[in-house]
Amino acid sequence: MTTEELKHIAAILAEIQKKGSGFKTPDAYFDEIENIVTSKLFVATLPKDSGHETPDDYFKEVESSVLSKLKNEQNSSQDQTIPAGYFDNLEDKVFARLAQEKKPKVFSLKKYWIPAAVAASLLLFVTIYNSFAKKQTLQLTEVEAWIEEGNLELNSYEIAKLYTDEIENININTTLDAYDLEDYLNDEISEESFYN
Amino acid sequence: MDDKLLVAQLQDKRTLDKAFRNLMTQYKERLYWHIRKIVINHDDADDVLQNTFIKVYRNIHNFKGDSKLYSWMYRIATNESLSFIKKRAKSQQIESEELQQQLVNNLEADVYFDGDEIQRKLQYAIAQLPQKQQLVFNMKYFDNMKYDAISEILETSVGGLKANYHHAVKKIEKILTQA
Repeated sequence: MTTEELKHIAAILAEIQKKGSGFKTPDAYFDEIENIVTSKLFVATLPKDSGHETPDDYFKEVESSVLSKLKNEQNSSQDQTIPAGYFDNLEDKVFARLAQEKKPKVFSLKKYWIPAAVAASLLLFVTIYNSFAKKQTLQLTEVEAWIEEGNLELNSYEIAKLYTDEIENININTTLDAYDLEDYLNDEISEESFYN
Repeated sequence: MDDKLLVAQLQDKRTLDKAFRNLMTQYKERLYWHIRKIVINHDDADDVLQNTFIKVYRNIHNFKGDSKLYSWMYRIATNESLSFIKKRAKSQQIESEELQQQLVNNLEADVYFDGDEIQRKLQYAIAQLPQKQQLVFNMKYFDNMKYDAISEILETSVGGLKANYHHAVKKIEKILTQA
């Protein structure tokens, strides 16, 4: 169909034909097409598989693993629960502790009479032994240091058993008075050692 | 560049990339406008054009030279465009014709359409034609392609194309006269 024929059967269409379709493109659109397509082709050649693998049957056991983990977390969070009403009297407890710590420390010999007696016995034994054994060259302070350093791995019962005869021969009442012993213990033995 | 030489370069791995770039440069605008008149929207036309070239690149080794390279590429572009419309319509659960009318109705707000009222009405009229008539009308009316070339692309006889075009013209003129 020629333009003349078109004019004859469709005058309006023949008129619009001069105008074109009316479509347009963004500026410089055609300048980049080659690069875009080339990039796309390159991307298409890249492997689709990342190469990562999973252990055999991993996906069969995922549900069990997750459920088991959730159960453990639930148990763990239950373990961390606190007694009912714990926070209700926490402040009172803290203040009570603070008040207790502010009180002057009274050292009672009654409470520590067994270790005190053992310590006194040891002291006496060492003193006596030192005075009688002229060849002994150790000083009392050295022996104390040696005991304090934890080298004497004997309890009071073992010491008493080991030196039964010597201890029987010692008359504590005649050689020590309670005040002297208390003074000695206050000066020479740290309070912490009683808590250990 | 001569089609035969270009095809030979495209089918040789050593010269493929360079020849393919030449091919795109040579045909990008013609193919774009052919696609654009079918899918209407620029962004969609851009997607379809790229897919067309990618398909050409991947299938160039199958090109036997039975038709012109130009016709073969137009055929790919036409199929890609129609597949695009069909797929989009399916995703919206409507018919292809309905989708095309929607696309044309959106032209008023399209920044890449600077046609006037009558040009918009013409697009609206084209969208109401059967698919084959739309293709023939666009290729003949806007691109002034020869019937022989259209025949090779659409694989339809020249006589059939002339009839299609004639029917299309009459229908469009009628729609425009009524509007």
